[in-house]
Amino acid sequence: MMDSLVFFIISAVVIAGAVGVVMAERIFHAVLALALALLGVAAVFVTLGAEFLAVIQVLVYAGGVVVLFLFATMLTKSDLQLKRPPRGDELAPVSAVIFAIVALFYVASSGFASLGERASVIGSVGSVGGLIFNPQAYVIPFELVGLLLLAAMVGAIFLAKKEAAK
Amino acid sequence: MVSVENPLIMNIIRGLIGVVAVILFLSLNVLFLTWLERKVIARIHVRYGPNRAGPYGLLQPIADMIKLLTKEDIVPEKADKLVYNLAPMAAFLFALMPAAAVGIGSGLIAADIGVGVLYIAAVSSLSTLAILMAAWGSNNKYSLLGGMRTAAQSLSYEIPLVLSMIGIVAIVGSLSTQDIVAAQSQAWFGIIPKWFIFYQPLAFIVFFAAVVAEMGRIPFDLPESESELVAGFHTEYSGMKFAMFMFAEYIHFVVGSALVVTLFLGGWHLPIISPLVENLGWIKYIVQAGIFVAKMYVIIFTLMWVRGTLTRTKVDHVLSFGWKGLLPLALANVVITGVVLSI
Repeated sequence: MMDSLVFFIISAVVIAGAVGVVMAERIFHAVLALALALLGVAAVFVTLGAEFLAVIQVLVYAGGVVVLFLFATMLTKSDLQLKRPPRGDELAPVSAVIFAIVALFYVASSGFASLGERASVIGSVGSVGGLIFNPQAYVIPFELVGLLLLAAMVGAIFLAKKEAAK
Repeated sequence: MVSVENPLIMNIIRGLIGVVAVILFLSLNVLFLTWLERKVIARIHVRYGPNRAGPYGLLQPIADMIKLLTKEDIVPEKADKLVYNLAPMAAFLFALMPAAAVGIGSGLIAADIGVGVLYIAAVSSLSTLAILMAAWGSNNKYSLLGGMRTAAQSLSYEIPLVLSMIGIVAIVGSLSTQDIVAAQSQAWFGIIPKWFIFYQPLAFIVFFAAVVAEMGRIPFDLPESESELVAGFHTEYSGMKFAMFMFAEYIHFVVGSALVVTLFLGGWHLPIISPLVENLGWIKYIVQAGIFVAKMYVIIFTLMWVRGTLTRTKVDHVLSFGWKGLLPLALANVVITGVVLSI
């Protein structure tokens, strides 16, 4: 009973954050709402026993990505107010509902619900590390993602350098 | 009386005790630190420091607190009110969070999390969020500049900070702070302690520099350099909200020093004394906490000494030192540790 109560409270926070991202009139508020939603998701991970995932969620998203977003926002004008999007306004809720239905079907058919007690074992640092670096499991995709990120980083540095040279 | 067998209620009670203990410990240390810092810096400057309120000026923090509580709370006209008012609370909260996973004795910890060290790194990265909120909410160019510097600095130094802990984590094989301290309990010949500062000297240097930068203290205190930024992100804050930022800053000071002690200086272990009290029941815990706090104050004093001695570094120097100095050193340490461990 208590678990589901905690889950509902956290979920309400996540949803409030997500709605805030869309509805906020100032970009800065939207980014802060995003931070709230991301922290809420980290809390959901904690309740599921996936401590490692939760911590990485905070470290990478709330502490890294959101800070970079804010950093970029600070380069804009402080009184900038967002206008309603000019077109596609009617399509947005429809596509959101369709996406939600598809996501729900996927989650329902994935067997996450039947994990139960095993979730905390699967989510531990040891087992995640074991999976990532196991040649039979995910080591090749992991290295490929690393390569992709490295390429993106080199590209970003190259672009920034070109700007500076002008 | 409520039935105490109920595991849920026991958990809630245990959690509450942890929260209260952490806040109490930090508050007392912060109050003492504000006095100690002014006194130590004054001595370095050949001044007396606070000496009016109480013996040796010891009641100065109380007087300061009353002053800050009764000050007028000013909100700038053009400020983003919501963000401006939330920022001090966020700063305070995010400063408190890492303290939960730092223990001052075996079992004397609010939450022994399995991913402890990583949790500390993750939640301390959130303080940047609070500072950016203050910087943006104030709608003041100096605050904004200070906030930008903070973001750049803390993002840069977070990477060497986390990387320098990897060596220790690899040796111990656990991320829990309790396990890391337990791994440092032995001593060579019974006197020379097996602390990680001796196993990982390079990591210690990197971690120490990075943690000082994350605390935003001299020589890395440029986010709030008074002379050029008028105190940076908290320029517009007054009264209690300003006090919350100061409080958060001193909490970072305490927790950062406690982390250095936990990771590199053997936590609550001390050769000769620790084995003596091992079987003494509750006395053991008092001695452990005493050893831990004493070590913590050695680090704190060193940092005050640094503050009284060194000057502030320029912003570009700070960033290039982080990326070109500390980051390669931290990576080298990871590689060396990996090679040595696999031999």
